[in-house]
Formats: sequence, C-alpha cells, structure tokens
Amino acid sequence: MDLISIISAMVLILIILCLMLLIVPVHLYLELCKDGPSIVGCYGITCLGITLKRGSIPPTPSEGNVTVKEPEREDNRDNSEQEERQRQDQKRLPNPRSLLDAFPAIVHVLKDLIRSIKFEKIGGRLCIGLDDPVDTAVMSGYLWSALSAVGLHRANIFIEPYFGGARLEGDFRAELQSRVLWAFMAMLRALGEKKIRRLMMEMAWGVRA
Amino acid sequence: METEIRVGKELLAESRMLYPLVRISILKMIDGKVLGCWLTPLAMLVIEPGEQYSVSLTEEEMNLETVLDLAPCLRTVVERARGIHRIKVS
Repeated sequence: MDLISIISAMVLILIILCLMLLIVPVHLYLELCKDGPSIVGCYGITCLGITLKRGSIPPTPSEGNVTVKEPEREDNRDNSEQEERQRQDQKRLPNPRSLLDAFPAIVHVLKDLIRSIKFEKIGGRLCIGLDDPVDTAVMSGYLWSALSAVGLHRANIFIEPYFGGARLEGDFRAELQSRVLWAFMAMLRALGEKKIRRLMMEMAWGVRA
Repeated sequence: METEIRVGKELLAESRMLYPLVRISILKMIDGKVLGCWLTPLAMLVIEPGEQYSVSLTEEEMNLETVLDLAPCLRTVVERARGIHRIKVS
C-alpha cells in the first residue's frame, strides 16, 4: 500500500467519524428546583450511553449572606480601563437596524434549531402566589392558557396557585434529544444569510457597514 | 374541592379604604395537583373616617360581624380604624 492510499483511508475514517458524531443523537437532561430563595439543579449530556458532561447548579446565596464589598479607592488607571471596556462594549452592541433586518432570518434559524430538538420528557410544578388572590388567579389563568397554547397541556407541568401571599416555588425537569447534524445544518444555513453574517461581524468586531 | 375565604388587596378611594372579600374554590386531584380554581367576590369592607361597614356583593345579606367572622384578619383593621377616631373623654 502506498502513502497516498493510507492518507486517503485516514481522511475517509476521519470524515466517517465526524459524520457519526453529527448523526448520533445527543441526550441532554436538566433538573431545576426552586425551594425558598435558592435555586438548585443538575444537568448532563450523554451520547451513546457515555456521559460527556455532568454538573450541578449550586444553590444561589440568599440575600442575607451576600457580602457587600467595601468601595475601593478610585484609581485613574481603573477608570480609564472601565471607560475603555464600556467603549468596547458599546462598539460590540449590534446596530438596531441590522438586528431588525436580520430578525426574520434569526426566527428561521431558531425554528430550524427547535425542530432539531425532540423533547423526550418534560415536566414540572410551579407554585405561584402574588400579594392579591385575584392577581394570583388571573396570573394562573394566563399561565394555564399559555401552556395550552404552546401545546404543553399534555406534559406533566402543573401550575399551582397559592392564595396565601407572595410565593414562587417549583421544579422543572426535561430530557431532550438532538442530532448535532440538524443544528449544524441550521448554523450553516444561518451563515449563508448575508444579514446574519453582517450582524455577527458587528457583534464580534464592531464592524459597521 | 377546597374552599377558603381570602381578603384581597386593599383599594383606596379618596378617603375610603375598601377590602374585598373573596371565596376561593380550588379543584384538586388526590395527589394535590390543582386542576382549576374559581373566585367569587362575597363582600366589601369599607373603612371610612368615623364609619366602618360592609357591602354584600351576593344576594346574601352580610353585616359587618359576618364579614369579620369570615375574615378574622380584618378585625384588626376595623379596630385600628375605630381606635383612630375614638374620642377620649377624660
């Protein structure tokens, strides 16, 4: 076997591996729980039964535990750095005009991305209470209608109104499956759109046409 | 089906304070999941300078004592209003 055939075989194997990675479904699970002031949760990404990433969302510190840093001495160098950073941030903000121009294309890409995701399991419970029982009932009605409109009325999502005062508690769990190929294709299609390319350039380098 | 009586958020109308009294009926499954709820306005407690009375929003007659029996938390509101306008005789 000559060198060219070995290299071409290796390239072919690499292409097949890349295609496999794109075609093989990736599973993602997410669990969130809000009990009191803190939110805790966990997430994981698996592919072919192999866990690629697993992590937990640590509880957020309650307001009472938050330590307020003492104001540091104002330094000229710090100020100039801050100003420079602000200037860069402003530069990287996209032009509203190009954002509006790219909006239909963004919606199209988002639709493609959502279509590539398949929800295997979705469920949760939301206990919501406002300071007025009437407001609570109205809000619950809105949420029930929204769930029904989105098509999640069959999912195990329960909205529980709490009429005793202000409260927000609940948990959420979702398992979804996606093939990277469709997301990849959606991204490629997005890059094919001139308006999205211009928007990305504006956001990345602050280039304005 | 669970039923509870709650007091809504107070409303200020010029010098009057209005406290709505609402009956809440909650339809629950055996495992506690809520399927639906109904709110029925029952009465309105009116606190005016020097006068406290209730207005029935249903066909049932509801005097002040009945309203206070249904929502004991309003008793302090009425007592406070009476205390403010009480004339001390020494």
